[in-house]
Amino acid sequence: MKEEMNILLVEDNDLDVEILRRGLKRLGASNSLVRARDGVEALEILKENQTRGILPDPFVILLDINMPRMNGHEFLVALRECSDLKSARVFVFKTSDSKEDVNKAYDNNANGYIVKPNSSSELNDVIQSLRSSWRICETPRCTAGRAPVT
Amino acid sequence: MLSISEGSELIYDEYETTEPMFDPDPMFSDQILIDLYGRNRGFDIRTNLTFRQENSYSQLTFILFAGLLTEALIVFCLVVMARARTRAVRYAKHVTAALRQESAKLAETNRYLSSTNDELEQFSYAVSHNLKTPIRGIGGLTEMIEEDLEDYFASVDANPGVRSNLARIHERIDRMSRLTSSIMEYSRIGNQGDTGDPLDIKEAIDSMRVDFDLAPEQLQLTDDVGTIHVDTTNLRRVLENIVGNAVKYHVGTAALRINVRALRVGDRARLVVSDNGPGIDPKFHDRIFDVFQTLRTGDTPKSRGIGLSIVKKVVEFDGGKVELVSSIGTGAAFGFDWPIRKQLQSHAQPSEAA
Repeated sequence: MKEEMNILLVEDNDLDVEILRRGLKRLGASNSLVRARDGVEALEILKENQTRGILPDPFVILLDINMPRMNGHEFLVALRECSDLKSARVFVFKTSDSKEDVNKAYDNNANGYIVKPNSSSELNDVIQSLRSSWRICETPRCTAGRAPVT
Repeated sequence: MLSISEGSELIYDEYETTEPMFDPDPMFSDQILIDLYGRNRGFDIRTNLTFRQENSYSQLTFILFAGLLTEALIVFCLVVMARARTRAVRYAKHVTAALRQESAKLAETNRYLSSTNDELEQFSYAVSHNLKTPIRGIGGLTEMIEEDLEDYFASVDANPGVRSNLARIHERIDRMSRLTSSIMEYSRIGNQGDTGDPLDIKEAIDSMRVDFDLAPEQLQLTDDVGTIHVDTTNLRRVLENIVGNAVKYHVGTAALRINVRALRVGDRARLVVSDNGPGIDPKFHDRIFDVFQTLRTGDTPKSRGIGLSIVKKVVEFDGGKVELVSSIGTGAAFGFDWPIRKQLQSHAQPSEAA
């Protein structure tokens, strides 16, 4: 059995955070969910995480785009420039499916782009798809150089 | 007139002052003495008035005068024409300048209107986009309330109105969400430029048959165009909206039949989508193309009320026009033109192209 999918959720909207938390709980997920309010906070958490295990490995980053201070696109660029963080898996979560946003996200090496679900059933689909892809995909090398938490 | 004399004796004389043709001052006169049969006869010849009349060239004077007059007239005309030309040129210059000013003003107004229009469209896009987050939030919160009330709903003294009202909130949220998506889609038409891969009409119709869950005979195609290379994202959108409309508004027992015809007309494709649906009353032919107009009453969940306005906006953006032939009971046929290939030069004004 693979490790549970831990999540770093980069999202400024409290309600969206709660909806995701509830969705995970509904599906009986036992993973950790760490929340950052914008790109700056997310980078801080990721860097701090290398010395202090806030976010258990392996994890996936769910990234909103419109955020204060550092938005999702900027965060992606900064992340990919970071030698020990660049392999992190990032799924962009955004309300719009505008081609510009989608293309920009993939240009910055997002691993996926998901339109924010509009209902709990849609959210269930998204979480379950993410978890099953998590199960069938191999985990990249340990990003923080620590042994995966089992 | 002749008078003949011999010596001093006048033997024949026509030279009478009473003679009607008498000319007191003959134009020609001569006196000849001729020795005739041994007699010396003098002939005095004078011309009479007849001669004068026949030989006085008064016409010449008249012709000369008339010629001079004509010449003068021609010269006058030339002068007048030259002056008129000068005036015309001056006037033309004046008018052209005025026109140029007018057209500059028009161009300026046009630029202003177009930028205002762009701003308005961006504004509606931004508003709609920003409304999406709170709308989703309300939806999420409603679901949370429902989740938290599971026990209450299960209890015997639960008010059934609570659950049904929560369901009604969901319906409204769905509608709001569709509205904002529609506004976003509508306001972006024309801002994205020419996009899309070449579109094979047969493939497009085949995939619509799958999307709308139609049998082969329900959606048929007559095609002599093949592939279209211009702005195919929008073309697909137009076709999908017209076909989708035919599917959505089909009622009655007659099995739905939709015919798509693609005909080559010069360098353009003439596309006509006709159906055997209920038809549209001619008095609604304009209104159905307006945004958020639907001829159905009440809360029709599927209708976005924007499909045909998208069709209209897309087709007219290219300078085309959607034609509709329909009346109640006869089905409906929507027709429009679409360029098959990109023109090398930008769209020339029709007047300039002529």
